Amino acid sequence: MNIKKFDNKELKVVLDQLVPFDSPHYIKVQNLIINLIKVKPSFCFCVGEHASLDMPVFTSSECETIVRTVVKEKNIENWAVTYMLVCFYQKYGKVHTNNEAWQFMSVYLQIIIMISIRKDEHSAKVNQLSVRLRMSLKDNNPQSKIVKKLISIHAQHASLTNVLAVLRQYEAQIRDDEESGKVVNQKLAGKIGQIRLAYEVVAENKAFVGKTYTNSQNNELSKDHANKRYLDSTDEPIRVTIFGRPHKNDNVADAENIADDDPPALLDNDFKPSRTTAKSSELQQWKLKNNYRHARRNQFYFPTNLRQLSLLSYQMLFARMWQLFGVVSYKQRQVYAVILLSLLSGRKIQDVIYELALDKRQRKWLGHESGSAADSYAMSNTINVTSNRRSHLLPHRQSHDNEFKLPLPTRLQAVIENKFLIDSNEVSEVLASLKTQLELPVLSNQHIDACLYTVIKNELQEPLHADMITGIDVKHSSPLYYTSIETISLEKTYYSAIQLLTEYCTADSQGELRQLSMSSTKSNRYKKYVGSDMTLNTDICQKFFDELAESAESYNGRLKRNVSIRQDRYIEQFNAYGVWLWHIIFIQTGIRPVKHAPGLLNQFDFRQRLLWVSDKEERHGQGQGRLIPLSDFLITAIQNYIEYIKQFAVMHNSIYPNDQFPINNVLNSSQPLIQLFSQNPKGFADITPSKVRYQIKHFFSHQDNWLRHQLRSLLTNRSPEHLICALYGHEHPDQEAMHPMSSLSINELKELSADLDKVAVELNLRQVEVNIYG
Amino acid sequence: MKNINLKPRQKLIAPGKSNLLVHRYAETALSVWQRFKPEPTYVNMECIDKFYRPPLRLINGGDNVFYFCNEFQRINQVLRLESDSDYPCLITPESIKDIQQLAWMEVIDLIFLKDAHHPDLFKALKGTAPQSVICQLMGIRYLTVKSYCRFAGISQSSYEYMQCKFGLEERVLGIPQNMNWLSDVPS
Repeated sequence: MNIKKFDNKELKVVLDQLVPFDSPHYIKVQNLIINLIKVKPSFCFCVGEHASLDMPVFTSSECETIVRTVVKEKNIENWAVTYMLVCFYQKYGKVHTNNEAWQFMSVYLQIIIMISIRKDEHSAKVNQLSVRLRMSLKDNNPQSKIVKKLISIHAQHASLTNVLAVLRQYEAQIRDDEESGKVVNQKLAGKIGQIRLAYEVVAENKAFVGKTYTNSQNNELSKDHANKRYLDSTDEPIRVTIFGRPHKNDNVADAENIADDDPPALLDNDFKPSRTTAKSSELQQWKLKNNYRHARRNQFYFPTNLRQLSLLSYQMLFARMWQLFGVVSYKQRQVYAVILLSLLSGRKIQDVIYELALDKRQRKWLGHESGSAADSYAMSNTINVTSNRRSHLLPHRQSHDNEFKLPLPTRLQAVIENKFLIDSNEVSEVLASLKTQLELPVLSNQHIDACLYTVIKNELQEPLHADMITGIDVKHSSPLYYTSIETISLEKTYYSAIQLLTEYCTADSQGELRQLSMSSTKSNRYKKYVGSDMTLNTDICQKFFDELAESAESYNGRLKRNVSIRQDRYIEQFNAYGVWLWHIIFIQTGIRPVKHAPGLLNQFDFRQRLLWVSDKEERHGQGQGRLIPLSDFLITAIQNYIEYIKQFAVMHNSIYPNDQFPINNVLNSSQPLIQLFSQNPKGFADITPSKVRYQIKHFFSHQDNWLRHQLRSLLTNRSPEHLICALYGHEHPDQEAMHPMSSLSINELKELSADLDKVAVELNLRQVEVNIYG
Repeated sequence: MKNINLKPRQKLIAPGKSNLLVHRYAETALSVWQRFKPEPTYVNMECIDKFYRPPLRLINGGDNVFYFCNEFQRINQVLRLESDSDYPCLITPESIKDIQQLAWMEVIDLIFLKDAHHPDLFKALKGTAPQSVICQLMGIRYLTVKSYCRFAGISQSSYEYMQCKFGLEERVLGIPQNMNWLSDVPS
């Protein structure tokens, strides 16, 4: 590698570009950079002799002013280098040439300069590099590991090539650990990758390669959602709805909101036909057809459904398949492998054919796991959840990942090792011959596709596990978004399904197929939970509620009024109590955090122990809202709160005639139950998620929906799945718990309240004792 | 006591929320007083004959409306517990300066309560009260912390101690203002 030589003029041009003349203290910052480069001279380039300048010194107040100016002027990107340097200065103090941290910074700046003089698309990396470093400087941030490692790497290795080699090694190791689940996945590998790439560009003069987007299969599937677009970003596919109501006041990912109810809209939804036309049979038929299409998409899977076989037929079919699989010719064996794989994975035959035609590395859900004695293939099931990017929360998530693996029989693995292409006609021929052999009334592709799903859903009664194991798209099964589930429970369900399916196999084959259950795949052992990224560990959750309760109680005995209403501790107590109750309601009901939730007082029925909520956009032609059972804990909490606000109102309203608490409106259900006093505009206002977020902004920040994820994860595998879906409003169309044709009794739904109480116990929730006098 | 003779300035009034109002010039003093008022414990006077109870000093506002300007605690009690019968009152002519002084006297009296919160009270007097009235009532030239403390009979250091104590308390009250608790939990 040639070391580039800079003359002063050239250097000046680059510096002016990195630290523009309108940025704060630009002369001093440029000076600092020139001096810093000399700390580790000739790492990437050398500079011509400069008039020796003193190392500039920044006082802490100067640093603070610069940081504030950068943020205030919204020039974080243009002044990225200044911002990064000042943050670094704040943390590591005055520049010493012997200090390892500053020596690293010298190299880092040289890299940045080298990238910036290229003047090509790589220049976006300048901002990226400074963001990475800035994030790493925060103590609570998991990225802080990176900067510590970088400093030590630079201290040990003197040349760019060596540093790069170690950096690659470091990235590979972190990536491996994160993927296997050995460590909590904090998504560090990608971030190290960005830094490594920058070093690579400088060291090896790499050209810029833009991302190319291929038409993947997933995009094909989504064509019927014409109003959705998919944006491809680095680690999260983002679905964008082009029209429709935007959710302005929440920070929930759009996909999550839309998945909750997403019937493909009729093109003429707003068309209001005349009365005679509306009753015409044509329109009626059209509606009926549309409803039918929608219901079919989500498949009832009743045992009487013609699209599936009985359990016995499946067992016979599988036994015959497995027997023939061992004896047929090499070419024929591949066709059988396709059908068997479809039976064992629950994927469509078309998908299996497509997947097997791909190269080993391109396969999506057939991954091979190396490391054990022989390479083994496994199905990997990815639950496409919204990823959590709040770095302070990453270490505290419950789920390790959103992917889990299930093993495949060894004999099958051998066949699918290499790519091969099967014509779907060959599959049909095999199926036709099997149909006559077994004397089945019907047998077609869709009966094969439905096999595993039916067995798990109808025989094992685990609809959620069925969705996860057969790789149902999250868009068609909203519960998947919210659930963080124990991996072992999924494994168990899968093995029971295999157990059932292999009932009629010979003893030898049974031994071969069932022994899989012994060999739990390696990565699953590390991943205790998989699924939702928003669910947090129980102990963090306990601590969260404990702190909230304590904050409401902290005013007891310390209450005092102030001439200014803004500093009145009675009002602060009122707000803290309201915020606590809001969170309690959400962890005990799982409702969506919509504006004014949980709503008016008359939505609660304390005698029937039910809450009526309407927290989402209505579906066409279905009744509004749903009923939610109330737990004992929640009833007590709300009744205590009502007592409290009554007393609060008496004291408050006599003192503040201009800022009345609308107690009568609250009790008469014309204003929402929970009110918060807001400073600007001054006065009591109905509660909204954004107001709550503002109240706890320094204490905790998470997606608004997180308690919904938390409750779903706490209930999963403990309460009956159909009841959880009823609680969340996650039933498929026409299968709602309160549907006119539903056979569910309300008392069955009410049994959930005992489970909700168990959640309260598990999270150590306690009633707060708020003292309103002095 | 049936044939009691009332002088023209004396009157029996049935106190109620509609006819007993605070005087315009006593409003600020009342609102300050309300924020610092002591715990509502009081002597029960219902058993005493009404003519032996202390009379209220009121100002006639016409239309059967009367204004009060002091004795806030007593008025509160009368309105809440003794509004069932007539109450002997003294009607005085309206004199704004006197009304203000009487009203603010109520606030100044709060200084001598044993759990008075002096820093806040001082701030309230400084910020909301008419300075001339206050200075006249307290017999000082200017309202300063020093003169306030001398008047209240406390030392300036105990005043400052109180200020610090409440300042410190502010930090442990309410929802914590940082995320450090997250790292306290073992992950």
